[in-house]
Amino acid sequence: VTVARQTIELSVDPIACEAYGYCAELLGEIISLDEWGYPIVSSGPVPTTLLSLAKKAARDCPRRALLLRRHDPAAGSAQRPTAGV
Amino acid sequence: MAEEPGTCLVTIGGAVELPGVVEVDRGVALRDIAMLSRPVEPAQAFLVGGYGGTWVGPEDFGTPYASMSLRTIGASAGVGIVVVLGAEACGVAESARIARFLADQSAGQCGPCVFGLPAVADSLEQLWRADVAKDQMHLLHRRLGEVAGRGACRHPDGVARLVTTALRVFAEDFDSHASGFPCRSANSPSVLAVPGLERKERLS
Repeated sequence: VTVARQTIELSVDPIACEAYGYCAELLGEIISLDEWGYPIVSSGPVPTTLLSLAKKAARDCPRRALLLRRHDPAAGSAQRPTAGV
Repeated sequence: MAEEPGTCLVTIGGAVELPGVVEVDRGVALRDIAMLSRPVEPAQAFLVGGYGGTWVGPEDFGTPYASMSLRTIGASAGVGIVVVLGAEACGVAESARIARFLADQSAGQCGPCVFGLPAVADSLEQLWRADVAKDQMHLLHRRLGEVAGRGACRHPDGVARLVTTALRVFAEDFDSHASGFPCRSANSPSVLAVPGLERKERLS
């Protein structure tokens, strides 16, 4: 029996984001900035070693535009986004 | 048997004698749809699906106008418009005009669209003028990657699709423009009905 583990994925609310850039500063491992300072998040689950940083980044976003989603591979789809869990 | 039953309406424009709406059987080749409006010169490309659509080169002119067939060449009927680009037009110039218009149409909600689309249009306009001060081809490729899929709606995706197909279909023209030698049609008047174009080009 394999137990599918929940993973966390990051996404950006493109309307809310105003390119403060704090997320890329805190989480340069998986977030880079485009030519205009808006974040590009690497796709896929956040590595467990970066989880606490990811939560901090989501919490510290002045626009609350960085979203953490619990992704359950068994359920197949991402669940409701939760900012700053 | 035809790929899809029935007929559909297609709006044809560009380098044709009889622009307007025609009713065609689904599955008729793109080339034959264009012929209905009597092209005034040999076509170098069709714009299929409107401004957020795709440029289609001569090798695909035989593609049936039906969803599955169009999908195999990366196109779709989109808003049901086919524009014929004649041999005497510049694909770089026309794509730059469309990109600028679409950039102006942004709803202004998401950064990558607000800043990205004008930047894409800037690159295209520099290429149109054959300005080689910067490597605009490199910039353009990077910018296209930075706008596609990054808005709350699909407006930027449509621009990226149009410009990406332009780079493929007009590859030779882009090469010569990027090397500082605009094609001989670079200053031809536009065959497109881009709103506000006349006024803008008169001002500049």
